Amino acid sequence: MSNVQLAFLMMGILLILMSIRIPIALAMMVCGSIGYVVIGGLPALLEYLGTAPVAKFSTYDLSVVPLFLLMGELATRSGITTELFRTCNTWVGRQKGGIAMAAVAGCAAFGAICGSSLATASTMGKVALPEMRRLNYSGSLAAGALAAGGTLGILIPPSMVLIIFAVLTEQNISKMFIAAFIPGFLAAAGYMITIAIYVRLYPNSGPRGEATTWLQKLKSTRDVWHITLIFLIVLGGIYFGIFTPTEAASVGVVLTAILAITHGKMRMEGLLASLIRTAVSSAMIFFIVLGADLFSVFIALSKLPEIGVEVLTNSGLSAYTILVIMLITYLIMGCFLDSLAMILLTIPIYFPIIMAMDFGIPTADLGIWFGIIALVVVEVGLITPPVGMNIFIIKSFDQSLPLKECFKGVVPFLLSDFVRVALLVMFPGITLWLVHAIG
Amino acid sequence: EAEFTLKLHHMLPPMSMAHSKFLEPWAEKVEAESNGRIDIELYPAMQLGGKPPQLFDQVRKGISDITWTVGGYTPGRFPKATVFELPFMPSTAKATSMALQEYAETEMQDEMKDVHLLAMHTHAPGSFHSREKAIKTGADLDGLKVRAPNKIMSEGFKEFGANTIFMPVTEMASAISKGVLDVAVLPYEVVLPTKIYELVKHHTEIKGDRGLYTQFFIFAMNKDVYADLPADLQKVIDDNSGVALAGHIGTLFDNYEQHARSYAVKQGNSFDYIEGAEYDAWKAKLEPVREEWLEDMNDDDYEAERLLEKAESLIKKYESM
Amino acid sequence: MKLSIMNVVEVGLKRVSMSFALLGGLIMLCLAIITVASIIGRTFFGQSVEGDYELTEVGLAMAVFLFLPECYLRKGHIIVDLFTAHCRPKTLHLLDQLGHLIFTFVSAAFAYRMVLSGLESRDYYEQTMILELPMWWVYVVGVICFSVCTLCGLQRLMCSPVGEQNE
Ligand code: NA
Ligand code: NA
Repeated sequence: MSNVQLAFLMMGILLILMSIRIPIALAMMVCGSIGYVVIGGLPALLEYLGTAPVAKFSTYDLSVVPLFLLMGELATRSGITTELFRTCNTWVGRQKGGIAMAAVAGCAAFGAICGSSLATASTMGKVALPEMRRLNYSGSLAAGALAAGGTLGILIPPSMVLIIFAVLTEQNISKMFIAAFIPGFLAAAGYMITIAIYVRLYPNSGPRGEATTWLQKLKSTRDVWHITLIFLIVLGGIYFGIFTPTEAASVGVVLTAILAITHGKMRMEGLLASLIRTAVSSAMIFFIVLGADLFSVFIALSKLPEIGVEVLTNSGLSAYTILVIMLITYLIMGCFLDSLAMILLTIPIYFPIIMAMDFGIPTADLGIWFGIIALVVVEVGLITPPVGMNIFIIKSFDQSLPLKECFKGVVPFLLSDFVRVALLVMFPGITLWLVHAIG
Repeated sequence: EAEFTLKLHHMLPPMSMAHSKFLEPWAEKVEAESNGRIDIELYPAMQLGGKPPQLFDQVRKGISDITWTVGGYTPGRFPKATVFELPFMPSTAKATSMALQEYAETEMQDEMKDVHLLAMHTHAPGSFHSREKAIKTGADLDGLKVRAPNKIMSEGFKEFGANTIFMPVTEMASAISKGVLDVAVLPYEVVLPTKIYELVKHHTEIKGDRGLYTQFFIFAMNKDVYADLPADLQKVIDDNSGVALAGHIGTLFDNYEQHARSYAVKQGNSFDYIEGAEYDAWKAKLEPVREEWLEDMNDDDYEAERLLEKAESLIKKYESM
Repeated sequence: MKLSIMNVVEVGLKRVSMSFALLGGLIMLCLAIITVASIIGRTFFGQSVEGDYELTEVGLAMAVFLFLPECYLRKGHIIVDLFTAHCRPKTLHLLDQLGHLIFTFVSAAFAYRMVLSGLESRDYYEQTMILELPMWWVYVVGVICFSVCTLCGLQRLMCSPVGEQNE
């Protein structure tokens, strides 16, 4: 059996193991190990096992993972997200489906300071889901809106996945953040429009909330001074060169912690609970990072990427066709894999191919443009079955929600995602305009 | 079908100069001279796993067969080579690399005993790249946030009152783009791929008989893999290693330095030079760094003065060649 | 009698894991504070915290190791349960036991190999660039945490009754 055949075989076994309830990280470790031993020999694998955990876990840029998760936990304790949701609600809650819209708006605002969709989905879900269920929102709409809204955590900068992408491809992180701004805003607008259409098609799914006066609207807006302040400090700090986008995560954590203590009256017990929840989610992600690393070392050893590049470049297919093929593979992988794992697994293979092709876009812009499109497509994986991280999080707040209904509720938001991906691919200017204007 | 397949693992991306102009052609040359009996597979960008500091150990243990890595990533591991990191040591990359290789062959057998050394070399001496303020004298560094390339230079810049920050190369471009850093100290060879020349307005180069600083690199092969090769194939490897190879790599780095610098020129950036009396003043100012190095090395029972003298005289020897 | 010993083990592992997770969380909080202190220092006082980037790397690695056992005990690892939704409880139990077995094996393998790599890291003076922090301490933390993971895995394997499933 050739090494390439072995790579395909192991991918098949990986899918089988994952579908019989073996944790994803473990499945990758098992398949990666077997492949590594066959090609590289047992001593190489044993050496890898001894050094890889310390090497992978001590990666500076990955420090944003626990920090953004901790920020989400502290934000819940500080009451920021409750007040954020309430404010959004007084403005749009009266609309049909208004509370779902308020949840999406809240996710967007929280996503503007936090770079994790896990944290965004869970912090906003905890506040908004009970409210929607109380007002008899359909489970589908509630879960769909919150799961999709959660993805704004990484779509709107700062963004964990973008930081990782920029590191892997040696792109400028600040430029990537600027580029993500308009597509992120489009995502939020797209989800709002989706809700508006949905409640017109299914009028009972999202009843109106309570009416509010203008005075209430203005008063409630005053309540979000804190998140506005954090947003201004974080954005201003990056813009004026006080700190780097990676360091901004630390600034955000310290500011939310201060708010949680002073404003949210967080005490020791609350802090400890936040730390524990952060620990569990972080370990889950880092374990996958470790598994994905082992698996991708095996894939590199098999020379599959090189042969793939050769086949693709000799195929005579146009650059855009190859891009579309890549995006489709992301959608398929996204069904099973975590967004971070996907980026780690594919970017070393895909990025050189993309950079070698002619899209009629200058090389300096090409990397940024592809990064944003890749970000949007891997984010879709967070809400597609069978493994949709955001769905799982939302469901964990209300076990009475059937999983099937949750995934059904996600479909309209997926459609909005597809429209957005098509727009970004067809009009690179949407992504690149702001980079040129500010950059 | 090749008789021996060797894995060459390193940290830089495939589009880097080191990969495309040095490692790939080197591998092809060895393959050709062995009549295809040796096949070298290149794994750039840490594809075989681990972090850059582990590259040396990977080749020592046979996880990879050949590696190219930065010596400074494993501080404390190659103390004798650190003499080449001292301020105002390096000449051109070519002369310094050849000197370093001869120095390694005669002085560093113990430090290199676990691998088969192909060549040690250095990059072209580094320069200052600053965002807002042109650095015309040492006093201009006072209070600026400077990214130092290594610990020795970090001590050096503190003598000028700079606020030295050490951050990974990956963070540097975004840090300098917004002013988290004021000054990066690097060779142009790194300034080009990180696009730092687009983010800064000023460059300051050191013009005297020696450059400001350099880093050393190790290009090495697994010992057993080399020993297992038949004599004629060992000769192919030997023909492509040693002082001649070090000089060849040094020349590549010197030429690429000029190429990379031309981008900064085209960008319309300003250029200042530390020369004449100012150059001498800098040398005097950084003298304590050398003294501290001598002291530390003597404390660790190395013949520091002799090593320093030897490095100096080797550089002079190859400079005049 | 056997049952009560297992209970003690279970409670003990739970306590250890939770304290580890808390310690790891506190490390992350401290790293955030150090980073902010460094930013304030370099902006207003011309001096950043020496080696702040290294501290973050070393601290992060330790924190992640400390997080691992708690994640396992709280069933934090993602599984795909869509294709097995209609399986009998007995089948599910069998599959989950397979998962626990792999986890135990993987953790033990990491722990064992990291002992060797850690010793080597110490012998070769592996350290960080500026602060010269010895790296073998990180290996020590890693070995301890993967050992605890192994014990947790064994405990699960030996006494998880049919009917109790992963979420
Ligand atoms: Na965000
Ligand atoms: Na999915």
